[in-house]
Amino acid sequence: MKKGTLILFVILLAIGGFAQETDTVLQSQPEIPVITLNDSDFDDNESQDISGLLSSSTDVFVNTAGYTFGQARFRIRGYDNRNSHVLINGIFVNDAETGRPYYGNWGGLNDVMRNKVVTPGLLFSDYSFGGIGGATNIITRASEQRSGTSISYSVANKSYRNRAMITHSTGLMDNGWAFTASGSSRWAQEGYVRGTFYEAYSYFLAAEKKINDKHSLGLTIMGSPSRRGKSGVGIAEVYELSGDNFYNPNWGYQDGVMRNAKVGTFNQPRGMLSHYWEIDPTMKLTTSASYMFGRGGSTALNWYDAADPRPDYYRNLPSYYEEGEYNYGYLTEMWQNSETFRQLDWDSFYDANRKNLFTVENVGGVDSVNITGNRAKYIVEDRRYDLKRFDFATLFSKELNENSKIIAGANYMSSQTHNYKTVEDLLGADWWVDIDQFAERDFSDDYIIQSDVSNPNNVVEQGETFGYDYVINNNKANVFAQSEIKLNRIDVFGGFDLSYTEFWRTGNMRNGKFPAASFGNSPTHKFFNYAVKAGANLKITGRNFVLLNASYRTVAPFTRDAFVSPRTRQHVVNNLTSEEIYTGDLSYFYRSPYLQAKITGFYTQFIDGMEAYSFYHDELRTFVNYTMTGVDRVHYGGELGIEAKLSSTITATFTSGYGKYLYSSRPSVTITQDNSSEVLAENRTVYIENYHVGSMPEFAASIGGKYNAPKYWFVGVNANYFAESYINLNPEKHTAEGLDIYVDDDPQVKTILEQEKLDPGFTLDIWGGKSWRINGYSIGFTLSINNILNNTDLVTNGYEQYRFDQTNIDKFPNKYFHLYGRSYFLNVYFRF
Amino acid sequence: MKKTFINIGLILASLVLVLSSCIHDEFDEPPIKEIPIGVVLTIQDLYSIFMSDSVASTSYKFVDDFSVYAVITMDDKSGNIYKAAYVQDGTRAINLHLMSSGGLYEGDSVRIYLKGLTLMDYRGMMQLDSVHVDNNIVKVSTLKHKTPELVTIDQINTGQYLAKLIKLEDMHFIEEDLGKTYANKEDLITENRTLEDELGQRVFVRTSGYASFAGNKIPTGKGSVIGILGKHDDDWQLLIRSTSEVKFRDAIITVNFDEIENGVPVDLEDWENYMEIGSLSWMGYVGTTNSSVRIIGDGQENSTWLILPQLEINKGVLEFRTRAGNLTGASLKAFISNDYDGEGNAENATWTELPANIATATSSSFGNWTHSGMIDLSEYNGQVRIAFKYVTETGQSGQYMLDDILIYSE
Repeated sequence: MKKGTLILFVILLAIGGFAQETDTVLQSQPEIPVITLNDSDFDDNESQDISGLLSSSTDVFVNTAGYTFGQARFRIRGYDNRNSHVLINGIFVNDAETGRPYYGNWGGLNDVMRNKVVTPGLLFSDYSFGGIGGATNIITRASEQRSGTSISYSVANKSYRNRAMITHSTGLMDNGWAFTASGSSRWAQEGYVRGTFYEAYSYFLAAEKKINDKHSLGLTIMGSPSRRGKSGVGIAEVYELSGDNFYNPNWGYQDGVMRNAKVGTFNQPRGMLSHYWEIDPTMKLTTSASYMFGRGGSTALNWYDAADPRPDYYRNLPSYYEEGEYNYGYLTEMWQNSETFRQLDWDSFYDANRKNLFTVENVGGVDSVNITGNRAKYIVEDRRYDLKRFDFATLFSKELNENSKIIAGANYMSSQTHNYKTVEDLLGADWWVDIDQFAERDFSDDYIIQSDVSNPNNVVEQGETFGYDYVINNNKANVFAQSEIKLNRIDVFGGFDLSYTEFWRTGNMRNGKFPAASFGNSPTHKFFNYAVKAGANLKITGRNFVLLNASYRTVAPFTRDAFVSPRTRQHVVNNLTSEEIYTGDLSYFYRSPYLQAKITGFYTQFIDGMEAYSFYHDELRTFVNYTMTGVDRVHYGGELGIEAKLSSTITATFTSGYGKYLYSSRPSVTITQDNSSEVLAENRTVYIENYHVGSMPEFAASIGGKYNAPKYWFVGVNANYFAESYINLNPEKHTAEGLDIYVDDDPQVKTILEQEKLDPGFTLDIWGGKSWRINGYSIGFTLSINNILNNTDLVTNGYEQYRFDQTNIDKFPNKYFHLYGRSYFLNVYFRF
Repeated sequence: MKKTFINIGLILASLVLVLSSCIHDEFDEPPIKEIPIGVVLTIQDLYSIFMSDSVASTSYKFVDDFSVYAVITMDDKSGNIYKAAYVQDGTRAINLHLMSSGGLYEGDSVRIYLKGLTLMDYRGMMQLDSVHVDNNIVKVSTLKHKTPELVTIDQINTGQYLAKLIKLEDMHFIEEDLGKTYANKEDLITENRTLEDELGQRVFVRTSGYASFAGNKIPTGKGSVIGILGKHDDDWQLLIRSTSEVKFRDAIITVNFDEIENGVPVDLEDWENYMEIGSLSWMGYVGTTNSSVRIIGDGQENSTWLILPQLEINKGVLEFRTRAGNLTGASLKAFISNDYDGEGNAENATWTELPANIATATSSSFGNWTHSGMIDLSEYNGQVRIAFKYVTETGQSGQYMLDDILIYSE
C-alpha cells in the first residue's frame, strides 16, 4: 500500500505539470434542493452522528448518505466520526477525548448554524486541513446571518415531540454592529421509545462590530443544555417477549410515575471571540479563541450486595431456565403480560434501602468511629465528565493570483475532562459506603477495597463524590498549510499538517488496588504527527472531470482508548502508538444542465489503530475493559450519485454506496477489570483478519424523485435499501484461549466464529413543503415522514455481548438496534 | 431593535416556564411498606412446629403473621455459603435459604417475618426456605455478635447444637488433610476436611470452592475452631466463617525421647539436667514399647531440674504426659521463666509454676500416663525456658516419668 500511495503521488505531480484554464467544477454545481431536516435523531451526545451536518453538502452522494442513509447507521466509507472534523468559526470542536464531534453541543440552534461549508472526503477545504472524512466549518458571524426574525414550531415523534425556535438577526447595521439571537426548546414527555423523555433548550447570541474596512470583531455565546431519559438496547428475546422492538429496560414506575434510571444531562456553554482582518483584498487573517466548560454525564443505577435490578438481566429472563421448568413458564408469562414486571421496580429499591440497617466501622479510617444507619443497596449515581476547554485558532489565506491561493493556520487546544461520580439519589437510604464490593469479597484486606485510601470506609451522601475521580488532560497544537492552483486543464492542491499531542491523567483519589498508580499526575504521553494530502481535478471537457485525491497521515491515540482503566489507574496500553492512515480516491464526474453523475472509488488502509470497549460485568461486579491494539483495517468501495432533471419541475436521484470494511491484521487484546490488578488477558492474538468491522450497512442505495411546483411547494419520495450489515465482534471469542475448551470438530466453534450478517431492509420516505409570501412575510411548512411503511423489524446495527461463556455459548446473545418505525417531523415557520 | 430583542426574550422566557413544568424530575418517595409482626415465636418453636406429628418429615408453610427475632451468626459474604445465612436466638439456630445473596451481615439482630416462608428439613438441616431479604427481614440493630458456644464432639451428637455457632477446642486436622487446601479454589469444588479431637473423634469441615479462603492451606498443629454446625444427612459438618477463627498452634518443639539412651543421665544438646540439691539426675528410660525420661527418688532431700532449650513463643501452649509410681511425698512441677540465662543455678532465676495436671500414684503402685492438659502460655511471649522440677524432702520418695512434651506457638 505504501508503494501504491507513492505512485499515486507521483502521478499527481506529473498531472500537475499541465497547465491551462477552465472554471472549476465544484463551485458551480447546481444547488441540490434540500428540505429542512429534523435533527432529532442526531443530537444525542451518545450517538454523535455527523449525518445531519452533511445534508447541506452539494454533493448528491454525500447529501443522501448523510441524511437518508444516516438513519440506518450507514457511514460514508465506513469511517468513524472522528475522521470528520467539525469547526465553528475555525475552532476545531471535535471532543478531545474521543475525537468525535458532539452534535448535541449545538442542538436546537439550527437557525444559526445553517451557514456552513461542507468539504467531504479529501477535497480541499478553505478552513482546515480536515480529516479523511472531510471537514465542515460552521460560520456563526452575526454579519453573515440572514437578517430578520424567524419563528418556528415543530412536532415530531422521535426523540422529542415538540420544538419551538425563535431567531432574530439584525444584519450588518449602519453603525457597524450586527446582532443575532436565537433560542429554542425541544421536549417530549415520552419520545418514540417508551420511558424516554426529552428536555432541551438552547441559546445563542452573536455580536459583531465592524471596526473599519479591515477589522471586525465578533463574539458568540452559545449553549444547549439538555436532559433526557435514555433508551437501551436488548437481545432478540426481550424484544420478542415484550412485543416491542424498542423495548427500553431503563425505566420503571416509582409510586405510579414513570422514571428513567439513565438520564443524560449536559450543559456546556461556549464563548468565542473572533477577529476578522482583511489585510488586503487578497489576504485575510481570521483569529478565534474559544472557551467551553460545564457539566456532562449520565445517571445510572448502582447496587451493593443486592439482587441485580435490571429487568433484562439474563437471570431474569425465561431463557435462563429450561423450557418446561416452572420459572421458564412463570417468567414468560410475566414478561409477556406485565409491563411493570419487565421494567424497573423503583418502589422495591426504596423498600430495600429503608430497612438495611448497617454499622460502618472505622469511618474515615478512624478507629472506633462507627456510623449506624440505613445503608443504600440501590442508588442512582451520576457519572460525570465535566469539561474545561480552551481553543485558539488562526487562519491565514492569501490569493496569490486569480488562479491560486495559499491557506495556512495554527491551532491550539487545552482540554481537561473531569471524570468522577456522585450520589444522585439515595432512594430512601441514609448513605452509601464507598468501597469496592467485588474486591471486598476476594480480599479480606481493608486497604485494597477502598476507592480512596486517604478516606477509607467513606460514607457518602447525596451529591458527594465517590468511586473514582480523575482528570484527563489533553493538549494539542498543530500547524498546517495548503495551496490550490487552478490551471486550464487541471486543478491541483497539496498540503501538510504537523501536530503535537500530549496527554496525562491526574488522579484525585488513591485507589486501594493501585495506590502507586492512581493518585497525582501520570507520565505525560507525547506524540508528533504529520499528515499530507494532495488532489487533482482533471478537466477533460467542460462536462467530464476526473478527480484524484490521496492522503497519508499519522493520528495520535485518543485518551478514551489509550487508558486501560482510567477510573482506577493511570496505566495506558502497551506500545501506545499513533495510527497510520493511507487513503486515496478517484472519481469521474459528469455534468450537463440535465444530468450530473459522479462515481467514486476509494481505498483506505488504517494501520495500528486501537479499539476500546468497557462494559459492566455482573459476575465480576465491575467494569471490564477490552483494549485492542495493532488494529489494521482496510476500507474500500465505490460511491455513485446521479441527479437528473427530468423536467423543469421534476428531479430524480439515484444514490448508492457499496464498500468492504474489513480488519486486515490480527490485533492484540488486553482485558482488564476495574476492581483488580489481575489482568484477565494480556496481549492475546485476536484472529479477526478479513472479518467485517461491522455495525453499519456496507451497501445502501436510494432512488428518489422530487417535484418542485412553481407555486412554492414541493414533494419528494425516496425508496431506500440497506444491506451487507454485520454486527460488531467480541474479540475474546476470536482468541485461541476463547476456544481452548473445544475440539477442532466441535460445531460450536463455527457458531462462535461466525460473524452474524443482518437481513437487508427497505424503507420509504416522503417529504414535502409549501411556503407563502404575504406582504414581505414568509410563512411555510415542511413535513417529512420516514419509514412510511412502518417497518419496525429492520435491525440497523448489533453487537456481540462482551460477556462470553464458553460452556454455554447462547447465554449472552447478540444485542440489536432497530430502525424507528414510521416517524414524522412537521415544521411550521414564520419569517419577517 | 431593542424592542424586538425584548419581545424575543419574553417569548423565550415564557417557553421555558411552560416547558420546564411538563417534564418530571422530582419523584415522590413511595410510601413506607410496614411488615407486620404478628405472633412472636422462638426458633425452638419452629423446631416444635416442624416436629409436631401433623407435619413431621415434610414441610410447613406459614400462612399467617408470625415473626422470629434472632441474630445472624453467618452471612454469605465469604462465599462459603451462597444465598444463605444462619440465625440463632436464645433457644436454637436455623438456616435461612435466601432468594438472592447479600444484604445480611453477621451480627445483625433481625426480625424474620415468617408469612409465606416454608420450614423444611433439608437432608438433616432445618431451614426456612425462600427468604426474601427485603420483604421478610427487618433489621433491629447491628454488631450484636454472638459468642460461640464451647462444645465437645459428644455434645454435637446430641443434635441440640444444629446450625449454632460453636467452638471446638484442642482440635487438629487429620494427617491426610495436611498439605491440602480448604477446598478446590481452581475448579470451584466444595471439599470436606476432617477435624479430630484428643480422643480421636471426628467432624468434617466443609468448605465451598467459592469461599474466599478456599485456596488457603489446612493448618498444621492444633487449637480451637469456630464455625457453624451444619449437617448433611448423618454427617456433622463445620462451616467456617473465616480462617481467623481457626486458631491453630504449631508444635515448635516435639519431644518423645525416642532416641534417648537407657539408664544414663539425660544429656541432650541445650538441655539442662541440673541438680540443685542432692544427687539425682533425670535418666533415660527405654521401655518395651515407649521411651521416656524418669527420675526415681532415693529418700533424701532432692531438687532436680530438667530444663528445655530456650524457645521463642507467641501465644504458646504446652502439653506433656507424666506417669507416677510409688509416690511418698515426691512432687513434680512445671515452670516457666523468661530470665533464666542457662548457666546452671536455676534457682537464681524467676520461675512461675504452670497449672499442669500431673500424674499421681499410690505409694505402692504405678498410675496411668496422664495428660497435662493444654497449658496456656500466652502470658509469656518471647524468649522462655520451660522446666520440670522434681522435689523431695528427706524421707520422701517416688518415681516420675515424663514424655511427649509439645510446645505450640502461633
